[in-house]
Amino acid sequence: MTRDYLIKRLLHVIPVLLGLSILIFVISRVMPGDPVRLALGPEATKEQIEQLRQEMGLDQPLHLQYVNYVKGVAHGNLGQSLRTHRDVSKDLIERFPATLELTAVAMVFAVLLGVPLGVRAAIRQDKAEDQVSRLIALSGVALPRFWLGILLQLVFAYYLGLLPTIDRAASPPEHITGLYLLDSVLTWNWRAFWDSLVHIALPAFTLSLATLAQIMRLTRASMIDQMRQDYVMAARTYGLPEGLITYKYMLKNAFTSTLTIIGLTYGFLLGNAFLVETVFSWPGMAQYGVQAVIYKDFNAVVAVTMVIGTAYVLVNLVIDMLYGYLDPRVKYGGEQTL
Amino acid sequence: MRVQAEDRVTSKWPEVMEDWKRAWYRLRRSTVSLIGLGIVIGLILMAIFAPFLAPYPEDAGSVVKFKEAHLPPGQAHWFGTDEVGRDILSRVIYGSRISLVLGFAVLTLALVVGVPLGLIAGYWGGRVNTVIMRLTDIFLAIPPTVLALAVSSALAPNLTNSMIAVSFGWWPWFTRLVQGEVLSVKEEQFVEASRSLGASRFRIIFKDILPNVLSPIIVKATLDMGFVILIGASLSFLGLGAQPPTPAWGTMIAEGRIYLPESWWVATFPGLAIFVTVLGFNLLGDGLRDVFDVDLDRWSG
Amino acid sequence: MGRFGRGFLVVLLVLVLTLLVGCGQEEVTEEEQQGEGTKSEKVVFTYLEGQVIGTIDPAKHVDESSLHAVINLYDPLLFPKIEEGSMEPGPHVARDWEVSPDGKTYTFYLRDDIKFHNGDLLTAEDVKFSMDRNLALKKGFSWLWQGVVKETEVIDEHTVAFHLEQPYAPFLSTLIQLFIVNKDEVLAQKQDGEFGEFGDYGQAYLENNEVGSGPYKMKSWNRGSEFVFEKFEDYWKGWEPGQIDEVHYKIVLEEATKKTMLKSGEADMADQWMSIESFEELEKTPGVVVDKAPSVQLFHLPIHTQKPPTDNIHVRRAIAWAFDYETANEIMGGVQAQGPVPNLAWGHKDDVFVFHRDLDKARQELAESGYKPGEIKLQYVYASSVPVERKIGLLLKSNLEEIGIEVEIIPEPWARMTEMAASKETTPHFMAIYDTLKYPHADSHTYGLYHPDSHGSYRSTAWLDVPEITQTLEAARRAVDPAEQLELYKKVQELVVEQVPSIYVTNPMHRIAYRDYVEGYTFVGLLGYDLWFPSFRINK
Repeated sequence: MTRDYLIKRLLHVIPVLLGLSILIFVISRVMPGDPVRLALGPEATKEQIEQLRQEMGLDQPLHLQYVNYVKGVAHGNLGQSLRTHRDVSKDLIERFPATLELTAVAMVFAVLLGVPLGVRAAIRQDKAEDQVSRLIALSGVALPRFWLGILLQLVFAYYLGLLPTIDRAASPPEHITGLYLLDSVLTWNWRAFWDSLVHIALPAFTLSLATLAQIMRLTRASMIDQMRQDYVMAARTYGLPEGLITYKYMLKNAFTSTLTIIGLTYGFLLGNAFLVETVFSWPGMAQYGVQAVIYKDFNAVVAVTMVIGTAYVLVNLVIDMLYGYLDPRVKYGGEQTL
Repeated sequence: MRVQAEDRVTSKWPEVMEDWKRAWYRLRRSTVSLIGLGIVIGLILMAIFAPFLAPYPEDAGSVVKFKEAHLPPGQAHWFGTDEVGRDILSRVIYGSRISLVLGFAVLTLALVVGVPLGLIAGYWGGRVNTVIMRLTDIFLAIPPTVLALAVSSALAPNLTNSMIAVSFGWWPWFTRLVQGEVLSVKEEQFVEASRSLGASRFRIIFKDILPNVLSPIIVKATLDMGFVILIGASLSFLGLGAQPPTPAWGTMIAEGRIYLPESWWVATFPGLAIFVTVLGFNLLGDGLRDVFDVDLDRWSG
Repeated sequence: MGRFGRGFLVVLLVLVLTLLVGCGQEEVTEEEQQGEGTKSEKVVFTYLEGQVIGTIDPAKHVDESSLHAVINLYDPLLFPKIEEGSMEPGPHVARDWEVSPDGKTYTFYLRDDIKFHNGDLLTAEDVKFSMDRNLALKKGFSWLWQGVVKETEVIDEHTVAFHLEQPYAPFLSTLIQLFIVNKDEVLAQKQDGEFGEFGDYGQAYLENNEVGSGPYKMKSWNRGSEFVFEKFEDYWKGWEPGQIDEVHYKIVLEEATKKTMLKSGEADMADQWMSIESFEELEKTPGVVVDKAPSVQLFHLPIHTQKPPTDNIHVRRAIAWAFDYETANEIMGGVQAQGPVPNLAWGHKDDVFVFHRDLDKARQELAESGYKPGEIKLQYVYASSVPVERKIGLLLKSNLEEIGIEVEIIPEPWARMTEMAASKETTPHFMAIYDTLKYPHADSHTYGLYHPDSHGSYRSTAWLDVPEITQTLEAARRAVDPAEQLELYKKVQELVVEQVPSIYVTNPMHRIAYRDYVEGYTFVGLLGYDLWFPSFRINK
């Protein structure tokens, strides 16, 4: 069963990604300015410009360019960055771990805090505490991420001097995966672990706040749903302890919808990563993407967009699968109305 | 015979109007939603009456008064002045125009493109439906902020282009919403009945389908307004939206950032404005959603 | 509440505790790194720069951050006498020299103890190769020697002679920009290219590697964020205690971050491009020093003389009469510029014509131009990382609005600005440019800005091409008699100012902020040379 489902979903995903690549490619080639001249620099002669233009295939019709690009991608060649004068693939490999680490920590933090807080709010539904938490949740989403980041930097790094301003670490651990926290643990380097943790604290918190708020709200909503269900009343009449009911049963059932929400909010998390990385000078892929956009570095823009798109689609796919796996109603056939 | 048939196509509008009346009564009882409504209305009024509300309306433009630069909040300038001496309060007030215009423009664009596509997809079904739905999948495959950034890279950085960039990511939501609603309504009896009686497609769309779709659209649009404004401000902050001297809130924060912490007011107040605005729309949208009892998750994909 | 509430509190408590403990630990960590612990005594220096390092190829460098890299990775033939506080060229790779009576042959006697980073000895072959390479690639500072150096001759292993086409007044001063590369290593790494037996002249290799003899080696380079230099132990000048072992040259685009890092001690020095407000704030900060010095820097707004409508001299004059120089100088904290050559540079003409704000004259000139108020719309491009340029832009916009000219102000990253400068079509009407003296001679800001040879760089975005000026410049370069030189350079300044190819705003005060334990900072006015890392001593 699940295998068929998996195949079906994959077949759904591939044309989407392909379509996305076409979309982004077209957008990028429509850019103003002359990328060839930018690439060659001030002293280029007309002949050199024409030559490079031919080499880069920019004199060919759009669809042929696209085909060449896809061929290149299949070989791992994502083009050259106009800004760094290096292969975009090299740049991305360098920068990807930083963003991965940041978003992962932010997500973990949002879930670890968001779920319990949501449960609490559900239990105390409609009391003052719930209304307050509702307000807080809505505020969390409304706070502009870049503004919050700046303020936090100001308070914690500047005024209080508790946390560093920018960078991932003062002296990074040995490079294994590129994820500083993981690498520090793997090399048993606790000083580096603490160093990296302290550096990632502010950016991760800033990034996680909105997601935390959303998860809190949705956990609350689904828990409330659960609380109304028959089995809860039944369990209570049987004398099962409240805590057990809350955690073992209700949460598990509510979790499936929370899972879907995690997939959705992950998208906003990724989007906000661009702003947080800029404010904190976090050397990740999102910051690279912003600079590529400002600099009109078309190969980099396409590459970053595709990576993010692929990641987002894959995460949602995984969530869907987990959802299908956890919810027996879906496991045994039936269309997913998505 | 035909006259009779058309008589029998009862419009759903009266029913829906009743729903709305009831919704309004319920909304009135939620303090939080009323706060949201108040903020939104206040904002709209502020934007309309900006020239009268702003103490120094000319400061919204490119005037320079270096002698009055970096004044802290005080009597003459409630929010202080910026690097060239302009009154921040006035600029924040004028900035509301930019944010609201951006929000409305983006959502209007998204609606104008998304709703008809959704109607077509739902109603015609089959291949057309699949194609349009795939298209929405593609545009939804990346987070809206990322799509807006990518589109911005192809355009010159200014306010109008940032609006276009953001709307790229928004129309698919409405298409899905409308398509789903159309699909569910299509099967219902009264539509079958109307069709068999020969009523035109248009009639059915306007009288049966649209009324049902309207409330989710309104709720979603209100909820989204905040987000759209936030993404627009983010683009301006990164330098991809409104350019100086336009008093867009995001641009003001970027400009004022370097003067922290001494001249903290330059970056703080515009940020506060964004926060309150987005909060207002969220509160209102949240309240509307509760009140209309709409299950938007169905179409969130 | 039960289980859950308690668990939550425990987690919170643990987090708070670790935070407190961690703060203490963090200080220890920083101290360790900064050499006070017994573990490592490496002296590390962190410098913040708002501009990405464009290139480390010493035949291609032009702007500040690239210069910083090249100066420390390579050795130039001559070096400005910074320790004496002067810009005059003194011995470096060349320990002594002779000039022939006709001014056309310069013979240099080189040191014999200079090693490249890979161990090779520096010889006259390397010097010849470096000059030839510069001339062939036609980039960077090669315009200093184009049409000037006829031939470079290797006389023996440590003697090299330059034969010039004609006598060239500023020749010695320009040699502070001739950085010596390792010929053997470059040729070993050459790839296919258009230079015959020299292939691509090693361009591909030198894009990402260095083949220098300078005091520091390249340890690592993450282009977007950081360049790490490490000390070259066998540097011919030798080392003293207190000098820097490792430099972390970080790219920080946000001024607020630069300030915060400097205040917290995370960084030891930041670049000169911060706003006046920031410097004033830093002056009041304990532990931070702001060094101020009159600079030989020109801040100006070159006007595109070949793009309509600014190709019309009346339009340019109208703009020059409308601008508020006084306010601009107040904002920038400098002294109003008198013509293109910085006031303190050798060869400056003190009584050159200077504009002041006069709206009537401005309107008159506009009337004569044939354009009506409201018809003209211009673009002003400035570096997004230099906020004061935005203020000047707003001032310009406001000033010109009064005579009916509309100005659009557009921020761009500096790197894009240098590329916009590359062609006539892409250069905007106005750019905001800081031009520091490249070598201590009026030629730097006359030939370097207004001779057609320099077209295509950020220095010459006015695209001025006036035959009389071109000829006078060439004659000035050829003049052997110093008095004649002076006269000709002064004449050039007069001619240039008449053309109004720029709004000459100010010679700003040079400001730079650093932690008080950094000693040895000397600013003599030349771009980049204040960041020659061996000059610093860290005294904690």
